[in-house]
Amino acid sequence: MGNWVVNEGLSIFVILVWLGMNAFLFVWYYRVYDNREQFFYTRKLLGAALPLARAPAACLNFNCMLILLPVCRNLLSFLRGSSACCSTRIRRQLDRNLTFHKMVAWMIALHTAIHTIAHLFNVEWCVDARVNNSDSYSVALSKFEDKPGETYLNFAEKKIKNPEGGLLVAVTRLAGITGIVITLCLILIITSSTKTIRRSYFEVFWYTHHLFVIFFIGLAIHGAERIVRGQTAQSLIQHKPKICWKKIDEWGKIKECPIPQFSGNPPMTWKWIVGPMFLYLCERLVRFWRSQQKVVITKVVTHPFKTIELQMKKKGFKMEVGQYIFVKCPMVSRLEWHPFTLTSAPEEDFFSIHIRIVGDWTEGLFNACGCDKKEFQDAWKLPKIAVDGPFGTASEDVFSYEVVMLVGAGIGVTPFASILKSVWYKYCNNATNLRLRKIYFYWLCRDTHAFEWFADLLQLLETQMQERNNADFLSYNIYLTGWDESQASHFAVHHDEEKDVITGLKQKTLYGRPNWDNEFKTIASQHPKPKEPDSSDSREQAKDSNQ
Amino acid sequence: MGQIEWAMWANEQALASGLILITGGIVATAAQFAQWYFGVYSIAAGVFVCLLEYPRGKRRKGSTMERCGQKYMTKVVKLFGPLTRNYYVRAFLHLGLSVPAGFLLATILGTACLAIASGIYLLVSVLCGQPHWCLIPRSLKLALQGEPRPGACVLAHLVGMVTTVAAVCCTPSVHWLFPSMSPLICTTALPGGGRGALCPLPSSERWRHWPRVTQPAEAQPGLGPTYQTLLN
Repeated sequence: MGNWVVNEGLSIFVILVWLGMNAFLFVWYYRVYDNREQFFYTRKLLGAALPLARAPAACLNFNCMLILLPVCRNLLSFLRGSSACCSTRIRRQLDRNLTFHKMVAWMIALHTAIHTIAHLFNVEWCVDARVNNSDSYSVALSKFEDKPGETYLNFAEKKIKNPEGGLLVAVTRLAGITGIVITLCLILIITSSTKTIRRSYFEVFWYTHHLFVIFFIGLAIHGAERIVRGQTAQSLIQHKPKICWKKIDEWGKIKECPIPQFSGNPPMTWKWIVGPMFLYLCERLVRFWRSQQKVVITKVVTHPFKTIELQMKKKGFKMEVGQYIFVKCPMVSRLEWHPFTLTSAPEEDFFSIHIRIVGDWTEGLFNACGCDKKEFQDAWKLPKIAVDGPFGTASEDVFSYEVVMLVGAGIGVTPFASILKSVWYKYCNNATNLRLRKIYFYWLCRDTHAFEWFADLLQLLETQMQERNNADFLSYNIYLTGWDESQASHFAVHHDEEKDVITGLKQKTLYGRPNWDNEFKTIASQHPKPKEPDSSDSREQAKDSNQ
Repeated sequence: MGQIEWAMWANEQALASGLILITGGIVATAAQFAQWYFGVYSIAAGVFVCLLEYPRGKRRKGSTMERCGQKYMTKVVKLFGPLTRNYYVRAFLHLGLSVPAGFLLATILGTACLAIASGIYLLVSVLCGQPHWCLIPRSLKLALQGEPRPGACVLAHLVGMVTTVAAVCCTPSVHWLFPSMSPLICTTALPGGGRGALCPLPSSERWRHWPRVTQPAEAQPGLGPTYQTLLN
């Protein structure tokens, strides 16, 4: 429990603050529209549907402001760099930007649903009141129109009954048109962002997501027609609803109850979203500028099982261990950026990524780099590449401890290529200053097929450590979880051989999942905490010296 | 773009439309809006669309994740046979189902969403071959849950561990870009020395740029110990 609090506490705190803001805005604006005098007559017309529509609208303003911020990755990198004074745990919250983006998106969907349903009631009741199909009070309130001496309260203009009247309001008023259009955009964005579509058909997700431009433009002008009506401040001084509301037949005839004047709420949404929209525009401009920087592919290596390695150089590129970059290849697609973990160490003067060929874009890149051809390519034939990054919190913690335990599962092993290489470079250059003494590396995967290149890296490290007579520096355990009986018998037969049959490494591959309790106990027993001097001993020593 | 199975998106869109139709229908019916019987229709149409679209069809390429509990509803889809399997039929069915819900404001959003899903299904049918929904077979699903096991291919895997390297040496243009760096960086050592233009490296040479700890690193501005080794 204590570990959970340490690991997740800050994230949970951020989420709770965000939920708290949502709840506060909802309750606050509900009470504004439910209690304030200026909306007294509007409430007579619309009942509880008025505050129930305005409260989620306020939450929508807040969430639409937040949703663009987590996807400004260059801004987040800037924040990460400038907060280098803060602990890694705080900076690591910035790595969960996409999770936050999705949570805010779901909140937007929820509030859109509440807002839309409440407005369905508003439109229905407004139209009913206009065509005299409602209580007499509402009908009387709806008689006000925009002419000299009065202003309208009921936004339904034409005397056409429901459901045609409601449909007409929706397609003739700006709020109706923009509302339908942006809700449709939101639904299309959500359906194309499900996990299946995102993982398998990235282009559908990416291009459909750009409907957010229409969403934000529509959102900014959604309230421009000002159809949410309330009594003006000046009118409230002259005409007090609490006194006059019962005397509706005498309005304009008696001195204390002149005809109330109404005005629409000024649009507020643009004030919330203009800042993040500007930041996002800057973000896209930065990405574009970065994409124009020259990146040169210095080497292309094809590994078995459809993996390629691109080694590149870019002027002024600085990276840390465990970071990732976004890569664009205009020859393959002008608009798509794809993230890849850096597999080179900062000590090397190139940077590299390993790419598995699994989809359209990677296949296109494979062909563009000439990997499908048997003969070698001229350098000028290699495609132009754009690189954005590096992003992500660096895994620099690994250098602060004497003994570290690294666990990588499946494709998650990729950052460890960078980490292990960097550790090795530091060890070779200046072993005495390196605090790190021992690495326990755990690699879990179904099979090592897709990660041949990583197995080769481990093999090289093993050889180099033996040459340096420090075979114990790195202790690695590979667990293959996708084995079957025929494999098991094969392994049993070759058990006594010096090198493992699968990986070719000296340390044997293990099968199934690790027993973590045992692993932790073993490691803990091998590296006990240094014994503190016993207080009774020191007292004894003091007594002896005094005598 | 050619590998995109648009039907998967059409399926998600149609499922969402079904839910929106149900929600709109419930609002219209419960609040007794004018002509609320369209709301009742909308609920029925929404439930039908959800039942039809809930089982996810088998993808042409790759493994398919089933939706939770979809095997029960698969029976419904199979019951109607080719009528609901065929995407042409689905496209026109969805278009037809969406029209009556367009008469009410509460359900018009469902109409629009279902019409878009219908449009995507029509696109799939017209542009792609085999416009029909396929069942995810049970035996295949079990196999698809894991990666293909090497089994007897272990030996082939050991024998076939050959890496081809397409090494590209830097052209003089890179030296212009990085003038501070010695052109030695870009040279890959050929067996026997010399600079090669396009030089294949045997697999044992792959990691030659790594620091070989037996050789001391000589200080040279701009170069680390790694690139010295390339000269040896």
